[in-house]
Amino acid sequence: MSDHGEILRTGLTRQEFLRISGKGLAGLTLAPSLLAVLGCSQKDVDSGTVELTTTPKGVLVTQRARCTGCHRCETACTTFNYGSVGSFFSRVKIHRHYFYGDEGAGSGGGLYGDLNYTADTCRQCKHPACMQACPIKAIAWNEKYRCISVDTQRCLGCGACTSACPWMMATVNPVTHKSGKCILCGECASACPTGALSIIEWKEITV
Amino acid sequence: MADGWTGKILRVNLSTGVITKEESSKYKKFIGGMGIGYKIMFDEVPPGTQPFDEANKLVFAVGPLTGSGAPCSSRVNITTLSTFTRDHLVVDAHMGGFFAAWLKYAGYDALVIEGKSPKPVWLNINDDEVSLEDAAFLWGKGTRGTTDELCRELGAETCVASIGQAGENLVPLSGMLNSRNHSGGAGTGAVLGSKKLKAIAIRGTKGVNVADRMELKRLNDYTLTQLMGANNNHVVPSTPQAWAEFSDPRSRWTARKGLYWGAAEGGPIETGENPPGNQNTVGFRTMKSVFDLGPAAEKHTVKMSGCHSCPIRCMSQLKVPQAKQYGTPETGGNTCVANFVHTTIFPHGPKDFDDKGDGTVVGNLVGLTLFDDYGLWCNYGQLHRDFTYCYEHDVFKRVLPEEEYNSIPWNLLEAGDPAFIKDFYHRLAYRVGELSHLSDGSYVIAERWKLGEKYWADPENHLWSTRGWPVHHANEASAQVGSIINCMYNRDAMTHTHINFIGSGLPLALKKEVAAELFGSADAYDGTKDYTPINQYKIKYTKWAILRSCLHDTLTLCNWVWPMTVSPMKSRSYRGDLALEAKYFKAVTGDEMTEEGLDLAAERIFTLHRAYTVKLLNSMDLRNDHDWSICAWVFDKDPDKPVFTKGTDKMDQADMKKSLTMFYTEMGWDPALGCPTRKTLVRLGMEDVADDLAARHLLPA
Repeated sequence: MSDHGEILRTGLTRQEFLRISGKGLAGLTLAPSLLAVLGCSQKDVDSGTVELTTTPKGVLVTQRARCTGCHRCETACTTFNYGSVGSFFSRVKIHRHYFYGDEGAGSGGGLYGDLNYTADTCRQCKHPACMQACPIKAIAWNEKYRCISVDTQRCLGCGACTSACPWMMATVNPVTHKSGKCILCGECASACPTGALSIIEWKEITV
Repeated sequence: MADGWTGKILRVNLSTGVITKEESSKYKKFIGGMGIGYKIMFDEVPPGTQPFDEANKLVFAVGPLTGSGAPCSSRVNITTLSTFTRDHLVVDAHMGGFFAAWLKYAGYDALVIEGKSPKPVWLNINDDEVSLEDAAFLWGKGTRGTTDELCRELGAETCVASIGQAGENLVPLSGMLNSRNHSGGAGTGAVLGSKKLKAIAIRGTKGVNVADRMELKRLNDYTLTQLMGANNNHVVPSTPQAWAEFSDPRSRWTARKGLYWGAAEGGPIETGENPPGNQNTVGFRTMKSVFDLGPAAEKHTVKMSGCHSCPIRCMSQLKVPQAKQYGTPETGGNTCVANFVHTTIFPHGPKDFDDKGDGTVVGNLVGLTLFDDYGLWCNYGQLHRDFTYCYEHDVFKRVLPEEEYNSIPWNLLEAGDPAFIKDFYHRLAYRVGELSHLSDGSYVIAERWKLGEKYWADPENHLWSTRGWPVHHANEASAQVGSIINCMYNRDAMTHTHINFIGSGLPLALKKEVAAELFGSADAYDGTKDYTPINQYKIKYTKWAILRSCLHDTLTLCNWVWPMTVSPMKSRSYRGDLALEAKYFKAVTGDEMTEEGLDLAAERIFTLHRAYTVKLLNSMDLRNDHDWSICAWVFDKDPDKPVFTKGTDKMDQADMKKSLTMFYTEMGWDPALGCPTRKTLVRLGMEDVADDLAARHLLPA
């Protein structure tokens, strides 16, 4: 049993969770109480079908087996954040994985393959490549959202953030020419009709 | 048109290769979808045009709510001339999936396809950049292979609508597919094939601008927590549940404790009990796999899915390893007729594999995968019923050349083996032999194979009109209401407003109360097979049902879930909200709108459909030349039971004739002929249509 496993068995602090989940949870044994809070099973964690993204507000739990590809996460995100409903510039992204799976065409996943696809979003990295790449420092810690976000007043729409992000999450809206990325508003999770996306606040985990 | 609409229509002339864009605002009074489709066809495709003529067009149109995130709003209405019914009158196909939203995200309210290409092409829409590309490498491929090729070239996010071999080979019962199994049928595949347009690929990176985003969010939350039930807006569960006052075993709200998505990744997921009020469980309510295919489908269900933006997941997603032995993928699925019709041709049922009843699951997955890959279309199951009729009545023995007859593996049919389906669909898609004319449609085979009166009069065959379309929620659905609806179109009626209400699962007394509120009297609503003669309230019910479906195909919303006539909430006394479309319209477009305003627009659109039918048929007498083509069984069934007695849904000829007169009158049409009058066309703001008809002597005095 690794140190991480011991920690998760005996209890969890936010700091420890952040440290561990950044490396992935597969192979770790989670305490039953934590699994209950996250709404998944040890089997889900072991098989890698549940993704946990730690954020300053809580843990975003993505259970792809429950995702039915309705894209209401994207429509809710873009309704709230843009007042313009679309897919490409959505800050949560299911469509890119929907048809051919998380690994893309030819991988055997998605609607044309194993019927599984994962909604993806900003990892809220500790050392964000998008922030480092922005030539005018328009990506920075935002106290209001309590996360790293794009200052759309200043953004030039150059797309350096998109290129820098290993997952191409920050996206320049082709109409407004401004970049955007997840601000942890939670709209996607509250709109998900199968609970495939949920946000578990830290207070629920650390209590 | 800054909010809701994109403001642009894309027009592609395949003869000249010229691609143009025009303002969509000129069609604003027709809103979108079906309205734009009829207006463009009325103005631009003259009578006498045949479906495969260069002069025929296809109008793909969406509306202000399409892609807006309003629930169930990724529907595209496709208008063209029928390939498969008598006189080739105007029809619509209604395609869900992702194409509609993506057309909008690319920046278009409609796409008009006209002319005829000299060689196979595909249409490449990348936002504002649109081009025709050589499709030589795609021609001959199925819809799946075509999509794979284009997505490899353009990216995995591309939405492709494609025809298969059936469309290429001008099979009248053919369609197009997008996003694997979302079809647009009604012969549109063959029309595209005649134009040599193999596929339309869309990359759309823009958005639908919304006037009031907070109101839109509020409406979404309100709809999902207060109004929406399951598929067809069934608002009670199919099993008794502690939270629910009512239940109905026929309800499509199948979720319950102990019912699982049995093949879900990582282990079974329970559909569970999903009381209204929580939008995070709505997607579990409808498990169409077991509803359509029986309990054997449970362990093969990976999950459910469906169209963009729809929280009601009605499309089965199955994993069936046994399918691989027939050369088809082991995963796939569909919904409703397309999900279960394939094994209905087996006279003794499908053969089982490993579990009791799994033959239905295996046979249908093999069948639907091949059917959708070839791009065939079943005419609401009529193709398969016609097969059964011809097999049972030895028609094939009579009309097929001996050599062809002997080449058909009838032993596999008798054995219920999916290998028969494989052989059968191949013959249809490639137009192999006389048998393949089965997919010319009922009207053609009745003539070609001299099937006679008894073919049309057979109640088991479910044909509604001798023009060649089957029942689609007709006399069995609210008597005269469904019957009139089934007379009005030029294909099977795609109206579900009434059947959603009928099948909602609420008790009869409650439905009668709702009917009284909506139509003026509880007499509007008859219990099933407990019918009464026509009355004015049923006529109002009929008009409402048709206009709502026209409205949904215009805005666009899915009429398989909408309208919200009733609700699952006891606290609302199960009352729905029929002003909801208008509320969404205002939130998205910013334009003031009322329920009555949208009803009027729908009346305009439906009357334009009628006017165009008059024009194409070159007859004002739609009563006799169009509507009164009802098959004899509707009046002759249940010979031992008098009409309007308990236990029969037969209709009465004199009552139906009176019903039509009353309906024409309600619509402001000529009560004897059933065609639109100048007065009504003017009232609906269509003076130009009146003038056009008058010039052709097609307007009653």
